[in-house]
Amino acid sequence: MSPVIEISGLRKTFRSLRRGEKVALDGFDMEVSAGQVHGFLGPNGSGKTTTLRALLGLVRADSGSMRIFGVSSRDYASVAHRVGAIVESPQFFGNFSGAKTLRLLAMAGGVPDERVLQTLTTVGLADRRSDPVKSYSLGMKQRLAVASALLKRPELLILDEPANGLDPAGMHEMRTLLRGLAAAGVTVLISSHLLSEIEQVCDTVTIISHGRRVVHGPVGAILAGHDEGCYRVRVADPDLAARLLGDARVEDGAVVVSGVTDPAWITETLGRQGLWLTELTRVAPDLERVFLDLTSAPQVPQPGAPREIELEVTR
Amino acid sequence: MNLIRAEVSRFFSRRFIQLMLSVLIIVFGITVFTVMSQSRTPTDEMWQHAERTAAQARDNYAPRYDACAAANPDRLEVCAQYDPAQFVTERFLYDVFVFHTRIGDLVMWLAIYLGFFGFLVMASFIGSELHSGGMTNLLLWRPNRMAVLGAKFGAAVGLVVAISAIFTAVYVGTFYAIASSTGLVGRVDGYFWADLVGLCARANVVGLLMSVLAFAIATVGRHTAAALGGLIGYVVVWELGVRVVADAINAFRGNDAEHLFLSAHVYTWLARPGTGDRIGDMTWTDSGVLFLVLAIAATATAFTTFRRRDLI
Repeated sequence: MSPVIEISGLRKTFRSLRRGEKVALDGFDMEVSAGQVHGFLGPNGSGKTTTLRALLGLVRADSGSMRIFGVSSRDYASVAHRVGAIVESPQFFGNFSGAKTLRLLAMAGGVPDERVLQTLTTVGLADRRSDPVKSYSLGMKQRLAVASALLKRPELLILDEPANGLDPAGMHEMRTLLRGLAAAGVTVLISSHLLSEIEQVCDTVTIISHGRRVVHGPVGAILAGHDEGCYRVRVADPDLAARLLGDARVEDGAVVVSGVTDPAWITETLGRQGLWLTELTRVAPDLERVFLDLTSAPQVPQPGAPREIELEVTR
Repeated sequence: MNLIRAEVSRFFSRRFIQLMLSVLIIVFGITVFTVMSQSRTPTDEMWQHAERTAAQARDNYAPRYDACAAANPDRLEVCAQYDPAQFVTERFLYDVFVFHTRIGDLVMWLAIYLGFFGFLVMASFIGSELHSGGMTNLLLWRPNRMAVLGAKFGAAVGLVVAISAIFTAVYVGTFYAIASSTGLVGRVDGYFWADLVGLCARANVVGLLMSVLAFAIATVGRHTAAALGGLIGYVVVWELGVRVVADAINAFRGNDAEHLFLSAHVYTWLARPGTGDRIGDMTWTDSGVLFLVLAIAATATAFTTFRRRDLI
């Protein structure tokens, strides 16, 4: 698949008289292929929003290259009609209705007025379209923001923290919506700190830390790459079991053992000592664990250090 | 064109702007009520008293004017304050609203109303958009900063000017109607109307200047409060603070330094010819040029800053 977004060696340093210099992006790379739902993960202050803002022409990068649909981001205006985006939650004017909010955007962007109702229907706000935005819940405002990005039928949708403020039902709706858009051929780039959301909805992911990419690739491959053969075991004497199993620790009365290639070895080892298992569960790696591993010391990239720490997972 | 239409629609939909329009109308209502409550149709007795007082004033001032004119044969305008011709009978019709003599002061108030209206409306219109992320959202649709800011600026300035012009016409018309019905219109010849139209136009220019300055400060400061803070800071530090300190150390003599203060230029700008309402040797031209330079510099600063700024 051809890349819809290509970012290479992106650098940005913010300079302020009051706060001094802050390196936001330190040679960041990212690639998003057409038709993917791509997750963009990173701790607060890692450079996610700066990346998105630079990509959308809101922030001027110091160096590096960015291309959207093969066009340099310097000519973003020529592809803007193909891109829908929300960058952090816009604060809508409270006394405007949802429909009026979108209608003003549609008017400014030359989008036919009928798209307003269609888009509000897509995000489930058609019934509340005439109500003032101040009467909307946080989740509804978030859906209105997504609607504003969908208004021009984008081929690329960039969403910064779209699940913020959504309740579980809202998250489910958002997931369904994004999946539907992806199925219709829309490429979606989502920045989020809700790892479980990313894990459930994204095909590929890029993790950023200290302004640099630390890992990227398919979600499944990244998780598989961090599968340490981990199992949870419950027995009558967990301390004894932990000693017998070697690379193991006791957590909440259960033994968590790592580096196991065949779980039969656990039953055999413990059974030989008369310890009978009441539970044997595989502990699958999740994105949260991978995220924490990759974005906490000592693996985080240090300013000025070579970029070889970056991991590409393609399996 | 679409951008302009959207901005016009946004302008009239903003709650704060609706509130400011209401405040403008309320203040206008209070002014009208105050004038009407202090006015009645002149009686014969009032006319006679006014004629006597005016004649006395003319007699008192004629020698002063003559002396001044003799001392300044080439600069008669400095003697305007002594000109006996200004003491017309209508000026001494107390408790009567005389359009001819009072409308000038009322237009001064109009300039103040329009100045504040323009300042608050423009500061809010751009400041709240920048602060809320509305501007960022718009730029995602139309990634052309100059066009987006230009449309917002053009639409807002155009609407403030249009509202100010309509308000001015209603304002002057209402006081003319009050004078016609319960007061006295006075001598209103072609010269008077030309002078009044010029004064109203200058009052509108004050409103326009305040609007442009508010837009520029709010754009640079990214917040409505930046414009309000800038205005308060200027008044407190410069108009009041520097004057007080300068007076205390006797730094300025007479009107030498008045041209350093914007308030003095506004006062001069709104002065009517022949009334002596001017400070030192300041002229309309000086003040007008200053306003123009200020407006252009402020607008250029706002656009340049916005074009280069990182929108974070």
